[in-house]
Amino acid sequence: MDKEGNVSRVMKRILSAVAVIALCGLAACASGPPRTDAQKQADKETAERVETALNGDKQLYAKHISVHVDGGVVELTGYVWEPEDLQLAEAIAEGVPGVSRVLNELELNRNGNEDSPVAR
Amino acid sequence: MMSSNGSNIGYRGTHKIGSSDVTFIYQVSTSLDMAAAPGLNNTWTKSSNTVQGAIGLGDTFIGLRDKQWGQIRFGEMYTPYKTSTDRLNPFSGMLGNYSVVMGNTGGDNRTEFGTRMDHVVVYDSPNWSGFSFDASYSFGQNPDPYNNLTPLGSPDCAGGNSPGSGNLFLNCDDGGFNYSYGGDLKFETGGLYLVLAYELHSQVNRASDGIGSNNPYYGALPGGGDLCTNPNPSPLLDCATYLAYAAEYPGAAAVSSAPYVDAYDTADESAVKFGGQYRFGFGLTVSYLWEEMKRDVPAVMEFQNERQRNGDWLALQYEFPGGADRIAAGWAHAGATPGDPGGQHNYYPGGIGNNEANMYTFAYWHKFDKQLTWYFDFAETLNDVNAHYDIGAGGHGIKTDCHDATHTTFVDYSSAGPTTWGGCHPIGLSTGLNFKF
Repeated sequence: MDKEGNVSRVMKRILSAVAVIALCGLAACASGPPRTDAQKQADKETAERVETALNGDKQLYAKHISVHVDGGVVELTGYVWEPEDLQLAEAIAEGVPGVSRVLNELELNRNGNEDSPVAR
Repeated sequence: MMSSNGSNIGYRGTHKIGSSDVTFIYQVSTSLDMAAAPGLNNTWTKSSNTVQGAIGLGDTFIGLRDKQWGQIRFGEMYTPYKTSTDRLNPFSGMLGNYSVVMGNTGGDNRTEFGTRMDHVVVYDSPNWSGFSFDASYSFGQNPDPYNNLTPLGSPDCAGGNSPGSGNLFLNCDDGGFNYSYGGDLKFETGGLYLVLAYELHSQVNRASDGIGSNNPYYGALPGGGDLCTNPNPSPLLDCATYLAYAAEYPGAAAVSSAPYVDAYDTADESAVKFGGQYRFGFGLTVSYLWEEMKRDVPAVMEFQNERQRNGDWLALQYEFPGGADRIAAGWAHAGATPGDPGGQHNYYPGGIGNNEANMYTFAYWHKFDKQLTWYFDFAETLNDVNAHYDIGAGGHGIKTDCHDATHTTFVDYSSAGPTTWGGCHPIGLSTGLNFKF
């Protein structure tokens, strides 16, 4: 098989894997019992407490952190700039009353021109 | 000098799809040049058609996200090989950040592994009890079998540089490659973080590593086309094409030279790294990273293979009680490579294989408040006689490297371009302000 054939095979496998992941994900999305109004209200109040705690910390700049709560499980998304803030945000959220678990999906922002291309 | 180091601005958002938990995500980002007008990056020591300061220079993508299965993004962005170890690099955007050595195959002032890719798909898994993984695939989109052209839809050659940068020929034979894939596996619990990452660049064209070389194996430019009529012409030159051309256009052939056989120096390059970080409860953070980069070339080309070596990175950071002040020290080591192309820098034939380097970095940060931080930074690189690592690659806004303004053609046959001095000893001091908004 020539090189183009190999590339084509790799592409097909990757696209197939992506399709499988997407289908599994969509199937998973359909599952799970709906939350009651009381649960929704409790989660909303928990989210507000977590946001207050994050913003009230003296060291953490939490403006770009989003908080979602589902059944007491807190999901942190968005980004921070300092590596230590990844753990700091999680620790703060874990200490908030009503939080059973924290899913830390925060990203470390390393953007800008770090890869600016140059001549040899 | 004054520069803007990693400043960026952007916009990101989400859009929930119907009643499902799937969310459409999007982000646009751009670099900000705080110190000069944005434009093409064509200066004495760097050459690129990428406009920093235009919308899109940054992680820019669209995608889908769900907390059950993670997220998939399509666009232009850093690959997992870089993002997985960002937290091990306290000097990001500063002189002496680890990208000067880690992921930098040749010691040029650019980082080949751990850079932003065009036309890339990235999948980020959810976190399962501390385990997670990411994967990426970049489509390449190069119309040339030897990846000697600019990829379709990109302003620069893959791997950085505009065609002709470094006073080379107007093509992508200084690192152009086709598709790329990679990924990482991460584990985190408490203060411990472990990471394994891999990336491959397919069929990387390094033919320019020999252009103008003063290695006797080459010598095409100073010798002109006569090399093809020698009793023993170099096997790296396409003499058949050249002699046919000379027969058809004898006048033009007299001022030209034989091209290189691209197939000889077009090969896969890969990198793998393993590392970890531990955060002690009393403010100390220790990070270590080991890396191995490979270039699969035939034995005949090993003499100029400067793309294969090991590397190490060690960083210690201490945060003083209260969190307003911290200090850090870093050490990076570049191992020896099998060969050295010479030519583009003042290659010392007597120092073959003598091309290791060590970089030392020290920095101090003070937080005035959550948003404003002042830093002071020192970096120094000690190069062996045939190494030319700098102190600014992959992070600092202005490249601080081993180039100078010398035009001398007796050490750089290829051009009147800037000469890179092997064995250089760059030292830098930097101070600046970082504001988050």
